[in-house]
Parts: sequence; structure tokens; C-alpha cells
Amino acid sequence: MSSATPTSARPFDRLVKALTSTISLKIVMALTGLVGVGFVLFHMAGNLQVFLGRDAYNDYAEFMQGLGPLKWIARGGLLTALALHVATAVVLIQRNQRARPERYAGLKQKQTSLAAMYMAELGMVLLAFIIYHIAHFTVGVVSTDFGGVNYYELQQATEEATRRDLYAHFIVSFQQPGIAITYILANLALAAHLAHGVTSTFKTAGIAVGRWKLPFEVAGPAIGVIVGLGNISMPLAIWAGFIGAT
Amino acid sequence: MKLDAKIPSGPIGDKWDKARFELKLVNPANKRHHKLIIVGSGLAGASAAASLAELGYDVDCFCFQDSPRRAHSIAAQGGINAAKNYQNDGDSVYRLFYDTVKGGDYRSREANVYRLAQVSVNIIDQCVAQGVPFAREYGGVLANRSFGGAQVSRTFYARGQTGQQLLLGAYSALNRQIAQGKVKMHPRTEMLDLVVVDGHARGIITRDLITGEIRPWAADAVLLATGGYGNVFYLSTNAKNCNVTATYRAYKRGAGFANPCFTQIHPTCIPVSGDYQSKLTLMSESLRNDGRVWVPRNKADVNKPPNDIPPDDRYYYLEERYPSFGNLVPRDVASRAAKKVCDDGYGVSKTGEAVYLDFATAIERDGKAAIEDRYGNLFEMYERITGENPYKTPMRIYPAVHYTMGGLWVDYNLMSTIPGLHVLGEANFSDHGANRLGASALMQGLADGYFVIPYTIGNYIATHYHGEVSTKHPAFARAEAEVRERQRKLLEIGSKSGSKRKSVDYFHRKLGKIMWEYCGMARNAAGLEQALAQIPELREQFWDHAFVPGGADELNPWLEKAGRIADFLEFAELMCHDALYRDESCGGHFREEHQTEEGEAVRRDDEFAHGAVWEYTGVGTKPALHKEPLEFENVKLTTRSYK
Amino acid sequence: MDIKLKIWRQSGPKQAGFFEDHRVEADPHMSFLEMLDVLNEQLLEAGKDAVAFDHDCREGICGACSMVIDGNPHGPRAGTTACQLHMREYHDGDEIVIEPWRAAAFPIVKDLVVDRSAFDRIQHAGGYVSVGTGSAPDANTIPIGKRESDQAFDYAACIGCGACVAACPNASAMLFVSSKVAHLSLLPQGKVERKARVRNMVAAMDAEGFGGCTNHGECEAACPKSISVDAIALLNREYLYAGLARD
Repeated sequence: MSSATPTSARPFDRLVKALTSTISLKIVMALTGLVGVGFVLFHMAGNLQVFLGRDAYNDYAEFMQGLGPLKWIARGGLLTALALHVATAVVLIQRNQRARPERYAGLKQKQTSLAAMYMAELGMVLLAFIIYHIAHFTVGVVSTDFGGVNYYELQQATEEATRRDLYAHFIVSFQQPGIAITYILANLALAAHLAHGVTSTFKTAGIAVGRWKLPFEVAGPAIGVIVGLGNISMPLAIWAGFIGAT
Repeated sequence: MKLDAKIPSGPIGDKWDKARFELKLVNPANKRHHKLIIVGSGLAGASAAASLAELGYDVDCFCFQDSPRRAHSIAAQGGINAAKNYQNDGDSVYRLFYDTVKGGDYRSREANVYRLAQVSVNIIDQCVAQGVPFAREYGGVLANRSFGGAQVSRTFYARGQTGQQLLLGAYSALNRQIAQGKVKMHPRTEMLDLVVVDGHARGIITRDLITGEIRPWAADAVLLATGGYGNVFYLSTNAKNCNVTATYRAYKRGAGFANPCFTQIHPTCIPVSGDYQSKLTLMSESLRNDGRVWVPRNKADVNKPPNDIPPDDRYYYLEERYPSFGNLVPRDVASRAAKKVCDDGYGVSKTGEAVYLDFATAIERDGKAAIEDRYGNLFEMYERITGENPYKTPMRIYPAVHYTMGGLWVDYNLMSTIPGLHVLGEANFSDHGANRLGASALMQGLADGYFVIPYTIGNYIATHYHGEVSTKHPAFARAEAEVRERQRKLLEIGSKSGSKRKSVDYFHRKLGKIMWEYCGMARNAAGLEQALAQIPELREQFWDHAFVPGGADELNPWLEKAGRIADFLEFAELMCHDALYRDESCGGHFREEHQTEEGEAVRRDDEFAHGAVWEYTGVGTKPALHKEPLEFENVKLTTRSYK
Repeated sequence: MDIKLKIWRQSGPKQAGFFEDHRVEADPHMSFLEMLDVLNEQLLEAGKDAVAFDHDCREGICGACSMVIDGNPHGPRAGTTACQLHMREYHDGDEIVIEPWRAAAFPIVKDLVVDRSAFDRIQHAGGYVSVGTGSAPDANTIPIGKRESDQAFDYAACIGCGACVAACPNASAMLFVSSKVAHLSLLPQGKVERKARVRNMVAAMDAEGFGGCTNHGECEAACPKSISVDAIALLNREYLYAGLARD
């Protein structure tokens, strides 16, 4: 089981062991999670421009689409982070389940939050949502046709030429109650996932301790609330006819 | 039985140096060929196992707990003495030596005690190096306190958990050796017999407590570090599983048992609350530094809430009787004083067997915060157990059996009367005489394990080694057969006893009552005769009606207990014989026939300045007495006075 | 007071376990384990096998007692081992469910007794300062600030009972491992070997089949010595340091 001399194993085996230790995997989860948090904040900030109207939003969209190779690097990076985040989650969850094969008749949870208890479930909801979300807006294979118009391909005429009218797709999608509710629920899940995840990340990184404990314990739920409110405000505003009502 | 204490000649201060030079060494390359068995993993056992493995010996260590870290040393609260004189208050090796001999009421061996005081300073160094988090001052140096009535501050402590931290230190040293393969640790394995081959201790028989496997182990020497026998009283501050089996089995195989009647009754324990009581809890002696002990002056007040009794109606009996030491008199004196006021009818609580330990004065003087800082965890513990808040109402305390100074006789080299059988820590009799001073048990356990046995065991191996003995030797088969037969008998009683069956605890409780009544805090000849008549009867009932469920080949806590209680039922007689023989009062042994008019103990140095060492002669027959005369060349025998 | 008990019985590691109903007459001043003693005495006098449970010092320091009481390791009272729990916490007629620690790394031996030797093996991997007997310098040679020393003590207070594992939704041993790592890494004596220690102890922890920490804090709530879950963050930090710093 244990060996007194740390050098007994071959260097490669030791490296593999070190990289797949529970703490290493947790650190991978934490780092990839941070990438996700950064993206989510950036993504929200970009999308909030929907409140500034069609031109502003489509300007932003055009800029993002025009990033060329940078866009693909970013997408690759994000997908890799996501894949690693999910893969380490699967491995860690399996280990955790194997660690307690027989359940208690009833174990009282005293300190944990609901978010913490359902991290894995929330994660699965988010994964399904991300797939749908990409299919919806990025690839445009679902929820694109409304009233016989394919909004994914819809163009906006500008002074020089035409460009994709993502604003229209955005607005029309959230005018559908089903889609709006799906996005709202998914973002509630995201808020909860972040509330525990962000704090947890800094504990796993060994930072949220001592005088830094409280700030990071506040930071997680705060980011969760900000992201949740920010993202949900858009479908709500559209649904309520506050924006895009033309 | 020949008692040669092997005390080195020369002045007391040079004896240990001389011994270390004269003790023979084992060639470093040969040490790995010598197998040592260590039974017990408390402070003495773990420190010995680690130190001997570091030297290169091949060590097997056994404990009945599920982990060596759970040995009962862990429960010691107060602290550990060392003659460091860090406080510049007049301490020295000589003073620690002197205090210990005097505190032991002149019934210990000077040379051993001096050595103990000498190595005490190394213990602290060793423990700090292991990472033991002793209390410290803001400047970063170690803190000390005065403890148990000492006039100097020489006690090192780690909150109220000194024993735990020291044991974890020794356990960590042991772990390092286990990891290196030099110690093979056998937890949940109980020693049930000693194997003697050609007059030398060469092995043990054990039972694996999980599988029930009984098997022999051979070695070149056997070290017992199995603690004391306080549980003979059933109720004591000892852990529930502490027992006398290892040392008693060794006694039955020929090891002399010295001064078994010397038991220490600790004055500050939480009183008994009912018949179901399974053990007693100690409240650290340090509480007496600030707590004032009292009972109502009028018998009519014993049932009144204590805060309703005006100051003038409180009898601060320790302060009044012992003005210079007051509440800090040694343990034996404080315990007897509590017994006396309760026997006289001034005891409080529904049993009438409790006195108050009051912090009101200290809280008023130093503030609640200061008291909380000093004793917070102890107050919490008291509140958990009794449901009363000691900040508001005085604690109720009563003496309880705590430590046993008696044990297997050992010479200066810690070897018993069976060559090769070495005994360490509380299990031996050597250093505390008739009464142990506070914070000295941890010191002795670690002194024996870290700094004495590593030298003396080498001498034994170098001078006595007669070649390897395997477990195929017929002595092992004989001992193993006896162990199996006894176990078979214990399991058989239940099937015969029918509806008259009783749990083994029932007999243990009965034995405890007899011992507390007749061989407890105060003893007299008539009572001891009574006990000697009642114990064999109880033993007979045990072998007729004790019900042990389950089988031999599984985890069977009741079979384990039954074996231990069976041994207590024999050992109790030995204790009473010794108490009856020792016709004097000294230390923890108070014979009512020998007291002053004021109820103070009267020693009889002309008759009893010796260790009484008993040799086994058979179950139920009087053991044979041998004496080791105690010579006091450095400490003058005086009447202990704490007035 | 009349107490109804539902106690887990299991004759061996491989046998199936089940809950068994019992009744016992308890006194409010009894400790919880004394209540179980009374039950066992009843069972024994009826010629039945009694309930096996680990216990020893009964004053909250040896760490032997280990039972989940109504879903709480060591029972409902914070900072209290099962042996220090008293029946005055309960009322006449209460039903109490008692289970063993449940974790793959703590196989059940019998009834409520589990095998916690995994903890010892983790300690073998590095829970020590490598200092042989006799080679220590004078105890006051290295001053240690009172704050560091007190902090180290807070972590050193671990009694190795395993309640943290029992309470953790993932049966993780990280509070146990981290309290040892934090205790030693806070002291100058322990700093020398800090990197190897944390690597080896974490590897041993994984090898024993404990789960991982998901920062729920249940271990801290269950710990009878109230050891802060901060220890785990310190462990993570030590582990990162060990991985990033050069040897």
C-alpha cells in the first residue's frame, strides 16, 4: 500500500500517479472551471449588449466572428477545458462512489449547501444545455426556424453590405416561452454550479484559507448571482417585451 | 527468587554514566539478527519499539487496540516534568530526583529515580524535535507550569492533552520504523501468555482479536509495556480495556510482582452518578492551581445548592489543614482528606461522595476569560458529562483510582526476575514508590522507552544470548495448549450456566466493589481479610456462571473481557495479600491502624523500607514474599509534611 | 426513560447486515455507551450475542468509538465523541438509529466495529519527522511563535477516529490527512520533509480507496475535535507547492 521510499517507483509511473492523484484531478477541475468562469463572464458581458439594440449587438457579433484563427484557438481551448472538466468530474465521481459502496440509512448533512450536494447533477444539466446552446446559436441546427423564416441565416443590411442578424435570432428565440424557460432554468443551474464551484476552486487551490477564506466564500455565491441575474435578465426582458418588441 | 537490583556503585550522579560505560554493546551488524518482542504501544512501548528499531534490532510490536495510537497514555492530561530549569526558579536534576523520592514516600529506588530525573531533559528535546506542539510563550520558547504541588515550574504541557501529543510523537517515530520495515506492528493482537525457555523469556502466545488465531512468537527478549492494573477496581480512570493480563501471566511464569498494593487515587475526578457507571473521568490536577476545595461546614447544608451557602459556612479543609500547600497537597493527601470529610458526613451530591472544587475566587481575581483560557476544555468536558456549568456552580469531584505504582519487579536495567523479560512504564514498579507525583508518569514511560532500554537491552543480548529458539520448542506448544484450554473453558461456562448466567461485567463490578471497599483509599487488616475471603468465592461464581457468547474464531469482545477479568479475579488476591502484609501507611497505601491523631499517614521505615516482591505459588495460595531493601544514601527519610 | 434502538448487526465483513430493533431503559445521566452497555447486559443475560462496538478511554481522546447515531457520526452534539454523549440529549420514547462508519476503506469487522487500519498506513507514508532518538537539539534552540504553535496544535488535536470519513458524502479522508500535514508543515521541525510527506501521504490516501474532497464541510461539522476544514485547503496548497517547487 504505502512505501517508505518515495523513489521506489519508476519516474514515469510516479508522474502518472502524481497527475492522477485525487488532489491533482481536483486542481485540473478547478483550473478548467476557472476557464469556464472567465468565459461565462465574458460571454455574459457580450450578450448584455443586446440591451443596446440591434446594431450594437450585431457589431459585437461581427467582431467576434471576424477574429479568424483566434476564434478557433479560443473555441479549441474552451472545448478542451470543458472536456477536461467533465472527464475529471467523471473520474472523481466514480472514485467517490466507489469509496462508499454501502449507503447509510440516513446521513444528516449539516453544513453543505444544496448547490454543493447536487454539483454533479447541475453539471449534467449544464452539459446538456451547452450542447443545445451550441446547436442553437453557434451551429444553428435547432431552434432556427420561426414562422417559416430561418433566423440563423437571416441577414441585416448595413451601409456597405449585409451581415448576419444574430440579434433577430436572439430576440425571436426568447420570445418562445419554451426556449426562454429552458435558458432561465439552465442559468439557474449555472448560478448554483458557480456558487459552490468558484469558492471550491479557491479552496482546492489552497488560497481560500485564513484571512482569504471569507472573501472567497462570498465570491462564489456572488459570481453565481451576478451571472444568473445577468443571463436571465435577457430572456426575461425579451419575453416581457422590454427589448426587441417591434 | 533472587533480587539483585544491579545498582551501579559510586556517587548517585555518576551511576548512570558508569552503567552506560559498563553495559555491553551489541555489534551494529548483529543487531538485525536479534528479534525483540514489545507488548504494548503506549508511551513506553512505542518509544522503545521506535528507538530499538532505529538501533537496528528486529522488532515485533503488539497491541490489543486497533491502532497503536489508541494506547491509554493518550488520555493523560496535565503534563510532563523535566528538570530543564528553563524558568530559572531553582530546579535541577537533583531537585526533581529529591521531590520524586519524597513524593513517593521513600519507597522507591534512589538510583532509578535519579536516572529518571537525568534523562527527563532529553525527553523534552526529543519530543519537540518530533513536532510535539508544547505550550509556548509569545517569544517562542517553551512554557512551563507548576503542577501537582511542585514548588518549581517544571511541567511542560500541551493544553489538556499532553499525553495525546506525546503519544502521537512516539507513534510517529514508530510509524517511521514500520514504514522502513524495521518494526512489524500487530494491532488487535493480545498477549495471552509468556513463554519461558530454560529460564529465559523467549516468546509470547497471542490471540488475533479479529480472526481468533492463537499463535506463538519467539524472540531473544520480551519487553512488556502494558500499563497498570487500575481496572481491578472496575471503576477507574483507566480506559475500559486496560488490564493486568500480560504482567499477571508473566508473574504466573515466575516474574516477581512488586508492591501491588501501591495504587494511586486521584483526587479530582467526576463523581459516580449511578450503578450503570462504566468508568470515571479525571479532571486534570491543574484545576487545583486555581480551584478551591470545600464542603459545607454544617451537615444540614450538604443538600443545599452550593451558591446558597455563605462563605463562613464553607469548610476549605485543605487550606485549613495544610496552610502552606493548601489545595496543592500531593494526590494521596488530597484524596484521603476528601474521603475523610465525606466519611464524616459532609459529602455533597446524592451519593454523599463528592466535594466542591470552586473557581469563584479565581474568576473574581483573574476574570472569566483567564480561567477559560487555562481550563476551557476541561470545563467543557465537565459540562458535557454532568450537564452543570462550572463557571456558575462549583464542580463536584471525588477521588478515583488512577494509576498503579506497583508492578513487575525490575532491576536497574529494567529486567524482571525472569532473565530476558524487561518491563517498562507503568507496568514496572520502579520509580514512583508508594505515590506518584503529577506529570511524572509520562516522564517515566518515555524515559524507559527512549533512553534506558536502548542501552540495557544491548547488555542483556550481549551477555545472555544462547542462540536462536524457534516456536517449535516444546515450551511454546505447552503454553499455547494452556491458552487454548483456558479459552475453551471460558466459552464453555455459558452453556452450563443456564438461567443463572451473568455477563462477565457483572463479576467485574462485584470485584471492583470488594476492592474499593477493602483495598481502596483506606485499608485495615480486618477488611483485607474479608476481601481475601470474598474474592475466591466470587472467582468460583465466575467460573460457574459467567456467560461468554459467540465463538473463539471471530471478533469476540466478551471472550477478551472474560479472560482479563479471570486474571483480575486472581490478581486481586495478590493485591490484598500485599496490602495486608504492608503493616504501615505510606503514600497511596493507607492502613488505618497507622495514622496520627489528625489522620496523617504513619510510615514504619524500620520494618518496611523495602520493596515487597511476590512470587507465584498457585491460584488461591499465598504467594511467597521476597524483599528488596531500599537504601537511602542521598535523601533523608523524614515524615512528609505539607502543613 | 424508554429508548427504542435500531442497531446495525453484521456478523462479519462479507455477511449481509441488517437493522435489529431493541428497547432499553436508560437514565438521563448515563453516557450513550453506558446505555449500550445496559442493552448488552440484557442481551447477554438472555443468552444472546451482544452488540460489538469499539470503545476504550470513554473520555473522548482515544478515538476508538465510532458509530453513526441518527445520521450523525458520534451523535448530534457538536465537538463530542459518542462516548462523551449523554442520554440527557434524548427524551423518553425516542427512537435512535445506530450504524457503523460506512466507507470502502473502513470494512466492517462486526456490527459497529470497522477496520480503520487504512489510517495507520497513511501515517506510515510520512506522518512523522525523521528524527532518531538521541539526535534532538535542545528544545529551546528553535523558537516557535505562539501563534504557529497554537495553530499546529489545533490540527494535531486529531484523534484519528474517522468521523470525517464517515460524514463525508464521498468518504474522503482528506481532513484526517490534512490535519497531520498541516500540523507538521506549520512547525519548523516538520518543514524539512514537507514535500515528500505530502506527496506520499496523498498517494497512500488514494491507494486506500478514500474519495476526494468536494468542499462540503461535513467533516468539520462531524469532527469531535472541531478541526477546521481549512486544513484541507492547506493540504492542497502543500501538494501544489510540492509539485511546483524544485526539489
